[in-house]
Amino acid sequence: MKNGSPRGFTRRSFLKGAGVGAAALGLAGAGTMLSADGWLSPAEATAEPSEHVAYLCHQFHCLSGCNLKCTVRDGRIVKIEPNDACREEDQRICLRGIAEVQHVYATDRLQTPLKRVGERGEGRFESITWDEAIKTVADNLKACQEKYGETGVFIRKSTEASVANGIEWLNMLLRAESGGNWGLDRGSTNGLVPGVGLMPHLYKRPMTEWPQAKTILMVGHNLCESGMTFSKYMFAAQEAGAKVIVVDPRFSVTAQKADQWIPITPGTDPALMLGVVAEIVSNGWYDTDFMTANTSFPFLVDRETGKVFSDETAPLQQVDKKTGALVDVKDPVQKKVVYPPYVYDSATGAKALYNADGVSPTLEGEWTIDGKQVVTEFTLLKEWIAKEGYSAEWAAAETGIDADVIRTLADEYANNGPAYIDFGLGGPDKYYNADVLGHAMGIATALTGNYGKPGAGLGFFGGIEPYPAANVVPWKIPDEFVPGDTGVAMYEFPDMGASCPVHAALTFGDCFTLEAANANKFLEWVKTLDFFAICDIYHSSVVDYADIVLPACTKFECDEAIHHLRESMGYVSLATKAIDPLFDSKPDLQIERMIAAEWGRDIYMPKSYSEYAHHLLDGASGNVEGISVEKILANQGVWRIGGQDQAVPPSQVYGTPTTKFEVYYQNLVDQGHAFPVYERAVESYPDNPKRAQYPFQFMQGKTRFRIHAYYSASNWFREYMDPSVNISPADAKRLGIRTNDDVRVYNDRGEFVARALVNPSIMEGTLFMAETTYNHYYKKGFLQNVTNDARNQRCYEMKHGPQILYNDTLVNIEKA
Amino acid sequence: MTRLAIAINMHRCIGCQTCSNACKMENNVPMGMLWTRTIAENCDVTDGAVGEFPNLTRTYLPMACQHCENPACQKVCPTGATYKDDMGRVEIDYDKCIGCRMCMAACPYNVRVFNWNDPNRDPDFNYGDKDVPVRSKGVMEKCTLCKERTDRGEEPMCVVCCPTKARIYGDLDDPNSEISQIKRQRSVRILLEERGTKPQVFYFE
Repeated sequence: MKNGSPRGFTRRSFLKGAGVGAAALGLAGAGTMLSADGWLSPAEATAEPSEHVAYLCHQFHCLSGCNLKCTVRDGRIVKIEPNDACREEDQRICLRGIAEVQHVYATDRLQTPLKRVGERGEGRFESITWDEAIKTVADNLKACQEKYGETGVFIRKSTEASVANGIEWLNMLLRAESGGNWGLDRGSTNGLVPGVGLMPHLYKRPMTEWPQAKTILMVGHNLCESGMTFSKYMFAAQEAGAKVIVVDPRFSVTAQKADQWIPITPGTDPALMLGVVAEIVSNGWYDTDFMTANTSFPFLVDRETGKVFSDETAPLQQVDKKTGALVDVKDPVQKKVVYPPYVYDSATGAKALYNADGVSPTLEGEWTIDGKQVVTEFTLLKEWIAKEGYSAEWAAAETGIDADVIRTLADEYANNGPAYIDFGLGGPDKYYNADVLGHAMGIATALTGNYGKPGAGLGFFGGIEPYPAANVVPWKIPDEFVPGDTGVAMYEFPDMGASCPVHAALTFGDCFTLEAANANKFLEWVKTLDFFAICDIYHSSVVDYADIVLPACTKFECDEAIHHLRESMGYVSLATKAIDPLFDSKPDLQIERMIAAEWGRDIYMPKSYSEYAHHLLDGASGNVEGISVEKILANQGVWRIGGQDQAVPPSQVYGTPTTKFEVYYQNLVDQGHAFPVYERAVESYPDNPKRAQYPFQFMQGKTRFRIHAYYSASNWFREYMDPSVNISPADAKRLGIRTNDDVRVYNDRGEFVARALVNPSIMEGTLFMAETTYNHYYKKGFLQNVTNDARNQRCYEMKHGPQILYNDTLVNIEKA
Repeated sequence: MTRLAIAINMHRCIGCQTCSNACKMENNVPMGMLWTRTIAENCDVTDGAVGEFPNLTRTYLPMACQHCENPACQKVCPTGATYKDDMGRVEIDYDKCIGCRMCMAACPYNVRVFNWNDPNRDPDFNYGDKDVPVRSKGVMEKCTLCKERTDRGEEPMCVVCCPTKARIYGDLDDPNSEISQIKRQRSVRILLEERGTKPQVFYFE
């Protein structure tokens, strides 16, 4: 072969690529003895193939909600493609939608109701009838209710895609505990709620405005893999001239596609953002007009108490949108009344209410007013930065990033025009210090005014857009039926001992290993339950621990012509049946009805998906005026909600009590976190003595081949991916680990065995693994056995409570 | 004349394998075989990288039949099973294929896949487009540019499904087509150009 072919490309590189395929295929080959061969009933003997087309809105836990068109031939799903009745812009699909052609029929499908015959965890079952299964579930849940009250029963639909279809009936109808704080994806959000209001990760402006930005800073967000169908907006922004900067410890796909990749020591992202804040302040790169008009920086703080200096004679009020009456404003976290803060009015040289007519707030200064020593929040911020010693150099030492890179980042973010900070919900969100990161990102934003206008913003982007809610007629159940709430989060159950309120559980999908860390400990708790039933589509990791297993069908299967009606991404979507339920599975609506019937409460639920769709759409008005079941069906199951084509006007009204961007969190004064104070990760910090035994930082993240554990059973994806741990070449060499070796990953919480991938994308001292895969695909254990279940107590003062610290985890690795 | 082709925007390719799976589905491609696959160039693991941390590069390269103007595969085919059709596509007449695999060896792009055994499909029925012929043991197959779809005036399935719109399909003989304009105006990468196969598929940034 001729040497020097263009750009280093040789035939060998194809062969090399092919070789990888072959290696992976070897693994798939091992799996073929588990293939779906012979599972399917024989095709009906028809002379000519008969085809029909069904429509559905696909998964929502990937945040894509793709509207799909599904071709069915002779009763089998043969083709899945985007629904071409959507606007071209909204015609989305990815490999996960397509691979359902096989995944729907995968070996891991639960086929019949099962009753456990072995020990919990052993995975020995016998099949039973639906009647017996439902009666056993009801008898056991009733016994638990009698003994412990209604909140002794735990019912939750999990993040596992697909079962839930978005509605949870039973936790309401049985007034069951549903597990309180979720503990996922709200780490940075916790630190932002007091700043801009509830759900701050949901920015109120569309991603279609990204091309108007000059700078897009993506903090721990691997959009090009976790939000594939939305990455087109990132490319459009780059093509329009925006500079995309990605902060990630790993050379992710998004890092590869960025204009600049900033590798960072894992778990130190808050230090980077505090360095950025310090540089913006010390270089005067802040926007005083914005800060004065739209933020709490001019508010006065009492030096002695650290509380915001306010007029405590009358609570802050606002007009209630529904009644038109003036009502007291409550803060979004603690729901306490709020008193209007004072500012120092430069016109009068005296205190004035921050919202007084014609007030001219002073941004910096200190005064004695009413016998109190008061100081503006901005002056306090400057003092705090000086006291803590934050600077680019300080951040450099913590993050491993050059100080010049940090300074340039601050400069570009503050000075080059409209800019976004886009933060991921994985990555840095899953460390002890995530709230500090959220707060620091908020302050960087408030200093620069990058909020509330096209081309600028702060939030999580990639699937959650400010879509209008459709004016459909909601299905109502009597007010007496609300989920029980003991105030306890699911992840706390195993630590509560005898005081744990929950004694029996019914989960739809795998909550217990997907929504908690330290699986060994959690599953020990599951074993102590009086009763545990699971309704799932696939044999997920926790199924082996259940007493009763109820097989649900996928979104493609239904026992009636019309399937689920939902709203997604600006559309009302009415799914139609592709195929009948496979095996002895049932749609979850029917399963929930059967259980509710044991309490006589099925009467509050729709009898069918058809009744539900008619109820919501007959009488719909406003932005879906004219919609009906018949019309939406005639339009391939989709109806675009009206009112989405007007540009979103710029806004500087925040969801805070003062409607300003609040930067100073007085409810955290006692904890020393009124401003974000840097603290290290709780386990994976650099000089943790545990590192002597467990020297590796273990991280997990999204992969294109999963939605959480969903698609573990996809044989199409098993040709690409099996449970595997990515390790840096230097560490691998030192430990004698080669690609395809089995490796044991462990710490004092547990262990698992997976395949090694020696990957230069990985920082030395770290391991990366794609989240997650059903446990029976591992040679031993599974990923969740090692993850950290510690909790940050400070977060109990925050909206979403402590978060699960999946990435704040140390392990060791060795050849298995 | 018509010369159908696909141009691939390398910057927009996120290596997601949607094209590979869309193609597999549409064309009833059996397990263990792919007509299009996306490799990370010069990497030996999925999503690997070239270089030393943090000085890394990664280039995703979606690879399928290049639909060459001067196809090496056609030249060596002893039966005329591989042919260049009047739409500019390189196609295989499965009935004429004797399974000699000369084409497989000749193709510089390593994109032909051979049915060494009876095809193993999972799920175990024929999925995809009902007009796509089923291939049997002993027959070569590869990207047809979705012949059955493009004959009907539709776009290839990989183009329809690409989440980032990295794929542009069109006629190189139509000077006004988007693909022709890209070829004229952009910096274009042709794979193994020195081999003289003249691929119609090309890549651009």
